[in-house]
Amino acid sequence: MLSKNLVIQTGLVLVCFCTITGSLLGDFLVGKNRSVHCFGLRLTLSATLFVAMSLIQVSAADQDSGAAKKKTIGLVLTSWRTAVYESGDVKAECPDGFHFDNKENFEKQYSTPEARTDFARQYLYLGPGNIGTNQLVAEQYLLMRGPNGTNVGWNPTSVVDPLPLRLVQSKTAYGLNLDGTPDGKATPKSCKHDKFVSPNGEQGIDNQLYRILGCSTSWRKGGHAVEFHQTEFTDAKLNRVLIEISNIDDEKNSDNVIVTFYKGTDAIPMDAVGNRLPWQSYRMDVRFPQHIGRARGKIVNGVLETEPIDQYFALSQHTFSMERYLRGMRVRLNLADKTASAEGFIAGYEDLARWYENYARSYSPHVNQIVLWSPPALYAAAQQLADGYPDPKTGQCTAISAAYQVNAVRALIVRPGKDDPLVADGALKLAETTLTRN
Amino acid sequence: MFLSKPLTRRTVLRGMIGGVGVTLGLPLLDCYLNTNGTALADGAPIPVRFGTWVWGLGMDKNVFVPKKVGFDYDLPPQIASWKDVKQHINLFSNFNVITDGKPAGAHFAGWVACLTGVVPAATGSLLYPTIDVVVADAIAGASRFRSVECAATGSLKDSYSMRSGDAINPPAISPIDLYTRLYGADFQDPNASDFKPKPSIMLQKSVLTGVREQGAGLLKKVGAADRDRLDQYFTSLREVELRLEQQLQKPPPAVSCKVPMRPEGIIPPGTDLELVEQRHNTMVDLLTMALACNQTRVFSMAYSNSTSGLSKRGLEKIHHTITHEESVDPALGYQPTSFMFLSRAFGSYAYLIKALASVPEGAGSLLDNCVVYACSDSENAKIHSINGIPMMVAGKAGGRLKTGYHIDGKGAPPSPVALTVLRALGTSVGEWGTGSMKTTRVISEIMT
Amino acid sequence: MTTGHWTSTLMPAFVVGGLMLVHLCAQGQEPAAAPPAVNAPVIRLMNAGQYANEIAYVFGSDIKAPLRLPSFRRVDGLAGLGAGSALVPAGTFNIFYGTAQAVAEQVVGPAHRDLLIPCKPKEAHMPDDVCAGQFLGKVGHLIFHRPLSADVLRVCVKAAHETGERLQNFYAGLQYALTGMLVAPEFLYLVEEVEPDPRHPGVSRLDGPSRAMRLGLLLWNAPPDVELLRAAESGELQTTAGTARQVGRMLASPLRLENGIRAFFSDMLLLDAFPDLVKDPIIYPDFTAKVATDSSEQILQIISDQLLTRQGDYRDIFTTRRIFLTQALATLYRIPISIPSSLDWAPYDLPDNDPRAGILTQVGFLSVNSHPGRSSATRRGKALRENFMCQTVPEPPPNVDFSAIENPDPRLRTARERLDMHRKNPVCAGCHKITDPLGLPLESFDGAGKFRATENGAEIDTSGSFSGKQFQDARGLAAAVHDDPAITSCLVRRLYEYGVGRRISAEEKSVVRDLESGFKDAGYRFVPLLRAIATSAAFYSISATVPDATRTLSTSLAGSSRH
Repeated sequence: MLSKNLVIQTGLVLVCFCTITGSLLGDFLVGKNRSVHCFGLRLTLSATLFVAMSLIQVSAADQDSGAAKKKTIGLVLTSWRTAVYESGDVKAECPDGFHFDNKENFEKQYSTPEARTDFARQYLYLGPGNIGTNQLVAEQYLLMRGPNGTNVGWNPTSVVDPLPLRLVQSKTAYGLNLDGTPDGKATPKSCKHDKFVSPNGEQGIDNQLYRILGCSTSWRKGGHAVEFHQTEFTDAKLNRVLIEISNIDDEKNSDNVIVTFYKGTDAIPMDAVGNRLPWQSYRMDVRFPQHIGRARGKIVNGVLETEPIDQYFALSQHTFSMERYLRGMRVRLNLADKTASAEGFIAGYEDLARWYENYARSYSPHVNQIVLWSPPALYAAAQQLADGYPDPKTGQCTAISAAYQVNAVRALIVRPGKDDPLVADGALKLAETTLTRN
Repeated sequence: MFLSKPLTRRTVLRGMIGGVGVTLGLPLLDCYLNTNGTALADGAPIPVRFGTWVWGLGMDKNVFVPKKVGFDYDLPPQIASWKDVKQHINLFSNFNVITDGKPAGAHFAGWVACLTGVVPAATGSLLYPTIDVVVADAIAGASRFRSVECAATGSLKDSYSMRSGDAINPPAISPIDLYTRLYGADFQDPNASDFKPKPSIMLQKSVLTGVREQGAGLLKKVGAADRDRLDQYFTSLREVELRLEQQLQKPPPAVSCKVPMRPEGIIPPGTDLELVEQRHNTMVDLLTMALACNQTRVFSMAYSNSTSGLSKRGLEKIHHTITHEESVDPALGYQPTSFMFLSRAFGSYAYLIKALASVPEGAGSLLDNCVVYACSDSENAKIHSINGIPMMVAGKAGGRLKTGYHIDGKGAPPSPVALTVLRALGTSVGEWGTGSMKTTRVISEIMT
Repeated sequence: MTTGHWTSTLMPAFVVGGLMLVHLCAQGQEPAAAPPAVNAPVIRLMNAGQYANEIAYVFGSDIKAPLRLPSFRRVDGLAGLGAGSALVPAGTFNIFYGTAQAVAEQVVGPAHRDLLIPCKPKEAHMPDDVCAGQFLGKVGHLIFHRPLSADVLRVCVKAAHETGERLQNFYAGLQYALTGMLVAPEFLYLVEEVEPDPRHPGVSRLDGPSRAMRLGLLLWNAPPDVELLRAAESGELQTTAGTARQVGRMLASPLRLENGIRAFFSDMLLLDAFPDLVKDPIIYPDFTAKVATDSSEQILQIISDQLLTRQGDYRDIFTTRRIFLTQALATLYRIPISIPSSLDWAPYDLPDNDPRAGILTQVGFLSVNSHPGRSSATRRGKALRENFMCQTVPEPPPNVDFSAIENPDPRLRTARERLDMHRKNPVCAGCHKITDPLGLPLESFDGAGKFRATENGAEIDTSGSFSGKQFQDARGLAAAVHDDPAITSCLVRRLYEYGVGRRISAEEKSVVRDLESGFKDAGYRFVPLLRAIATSAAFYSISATVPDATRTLSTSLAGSSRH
């Protein structure tokens, strides 16, 4: 296929050539009298053409390098895991052991057999047809150890657990430096706290959530919460997180890219062995504009980093769906384009109230068997360790630094057609003028 | 419309099977009653079973044909997997398909000649019944299924059991498909202590009788050629009637019958070698029990397709392409990847033989009362040669065959092998094959 | 009767009869090669598509008829012709029987009985011959394609009565009777019968219901519906005007006509290969089972859109930019597409610079004519020749020497380079010259039908020439194919043979040529071609004699038979 420029250039050469030969011929035919004057004219003409050609060539070159077409990369997240670093030596992270669970706290709280029997008499209700074979159901009554049978999962401040939560004691964690300080001192947006070092040596990592969850068997490799959410994240369509990186000059290095987060709604296809397949189209779910967010970013050596924004995510976690709120959220993603995939972190301050509500609804019924922590201790620890966005009146930080490990595959992000029921009344609205929100 | 199957002397001869003046193709009431009358209970001979096993793309003769001819042959590398079952297998080498000038259609003429005794006039011409159909005509008796066909490739197109190209027996294409056919709603456990004839079965039978009787009117309206076609349909209908009738009787006990469990999980589709092997072996297990539980006496297993061959994950080329493009390794003397595919095929064959040998029956095993005839489409797939086309015959046919022999055909056509099998099964077939493939000879070395 | 009559009608019949006699006497010999086709009435075994359409029509689409059978033998490339010689071995009968039981159970089941069996028995636990007779008579008329004779109806009602009485359940009785009818030969076999032609004494013609059967199968891939049966039984179909009226009605029924068109092209394009289509999961991990299924359906959607919805030029199926995608397919095409959850498919117009156009460049044709792990220019070229142009590619010669292509040089990175060897060797070249040049331009699509610019790092050369035209790429090939006369003449011939159910005879070649020129005059539009065939006298003409009713039946019901 001949390029446009080549055609233009060839044409001009031909014109030039014809002009000269034509006029020479004309000259010959007309005679020598007007030769000087005509020669000058011809020279000017040819020179002009020549210059014009060069200009076109230059501008064509310009087109080829300077004002190159901007690229867009689409991604769909295929994995979202609470980033729990495990060194391999459990004793280093959890020298005293793993979390005490709800049952252990109950037994401490009601320390005599009589007290327990009495408690059971008041609060153990198995219901008709339930003759105590379903341990999961039966032991939920152990949550009712707040005053007057208050469920401590829902009301974690109603008791003080005799056995407080065991926290991670080691110094290494995944995540990003969210507060911008080297040492975790208090700032207008954050509370004083200790920092971590990342596994590859990066200093100043904020991940207080890891401190709380790191000694939970459920959240460590092979644990229930981890395994459950791994498949839940891809299977539940609610969890469709789309990331569009636009304004890219070069996929390896680009100074000023725009990263837009969307909620999607389509299933992710799998191949025969269970790998998630790239290049499928995903519709933006434009019914919920609060799940659309936009941040500036940079790509350096194939790694994308974004500036902080506050972002809502619709997530189904442990079968309970809710809207999580990550403040000061940043993304660091390694865009490995050969395999059409990407992996990295989403880090930010989890709004504590929402975070705990998710836990209360989805995990607390199972704290005695498979989830294995104690809600009051968990909540108390979270309040104590919270390090983001202090309440102006009380000074209590209302969010906790967290990091989530994510994987993604390349996706084609599309707008739904106008007849698609996904399209809300009215047009898709984006905060075009401001790139960050508060 | 012309006859889909020609009437030849051979046809009429085959009609004399069993000596009961039965016209071919129909398990007559007499025959059926006789079989039941001489049930196992009173020590009558255990019925002999028959199966065919067909694989594609031949063998590598340098590493397949044993050096020793006769009893207790050596096992070259391609059949090393026969170590524990060799004593049950007769191997036939150096038998040549003689085409009488007809074009030896690649991946076609070879297996058609071995299974029907006739070299086809052209590729695609399937006018004669395969040996298992001929055998089923004779010995199927009143078993619940006249015959059972399986395709380890998982494709409906792979069946080497047919009365003609217009009457190919549809194969089961997955273990679950096979299980449902064999052990589905209609299955009656022969060893169940409480037998009650189901009224629904009697009613079904009487309805079908009505269908047959009123359907006869159609025969008056069609030409003679189409009457033959409808005949064949009525034969099938009648067989179902008789099968239903037989189900009203308490089945004779089958000592070795253990009703298998429904296969768990689904084997994904495809001709990947591992999937084919898995499908094959699972179906063999179900089939073996079907024989032991007297659900059928005749089966046919298509291990692989004669033209496309199998594939292997990550290999760009399929087996067939490899046979043409892979060069012979000078040290090994064969095409290594093709060798691998074929060795695995023979391993699956050994699995079948072992499965049959593992079921105790009478004084020996189920295999002792079986004959399994195995053949391929070619000798050397690379050059589509059909001289030296390999065959195996396993099982003792209830004592009428010896096993463990390597027989060198010395260039003779393969038809005597088929005829030997037919004789060993108790048929009185006089000859097999047409043209230069016609024979009246049997391989006496393996007959007792 | 004139000599002309004698020669043209009775003579062939005598020849037929004579040949058959010779056949019967030919013992111990090879069967004769298939004789030239004669315009005989056809008896087709019903295929799964026709079965499904019939059940859906008679009982509603709620009733499922699971039926999975291998395709019939292909004659002249069409399984529809093999239907005319297909037999029913025991295994096949069992399958039909299982489906019949499943259908009958649903029909009389509580969910459907009120709708499908309008009359009610006096007592549900007893037979009711009146209601049974009404239901079975009406259903029988439809599924046997002729009114039930009193005798046959009696047999059916008797079956319902006996079983209903034994099981003390009217509906169970109906169920058994219906099961029987659904395995009866009059249902499974789509029979054409002859009657004396009143206009030409001594000559036979297809009777009304047989003409209806041909029409139904050609246009709707289903036995006749109520209205067509009525027209058949009233004699209307023996008139030109009556036939034209029914043809017009049937061509105006979009859904049923689409069934018919789909069935024809599924047969002609060998879409029965798709259920076995599996790709290597390591080499083509994104070619999932859904992609395989969708790619086959896409072919039919493109054809249906072009021929039916747009009433366009048939040849444009090779060049059309209008395709249809699902999310799974779009992933292979790398096309961003928004499809609402409630739909599976969405139309898509390929942009001007897309390398694809027409069905030869869509995933289905490309992938089914490839290996599990690799593309195949030879197979694609062969499919194009055989399926679309009715040209036979000969078998490889049995003694071909493969050493020339053994262990292909790994420096040969593209298929073109590898296949070059075939075309240099004269033994191979004969066939490969026919196939490869048509497949090589399609090498810009890999074995899964995905676009690629290079193979093993080398640029793919997709240039070539065909039918006198040079081109640079797959779209150029498609344009050249579009203009090749074999494309249209093959279609006409295939469609006609599909309709009459057998190979055309020598006399019919001129009929087909006339249809071809009519096709051209109509702008190569498919519906007018269907109309032309369905309203032509030739389509219904036969030359068999009326079977002699006094001939004794050599076959029977009491047990003897030949196979």
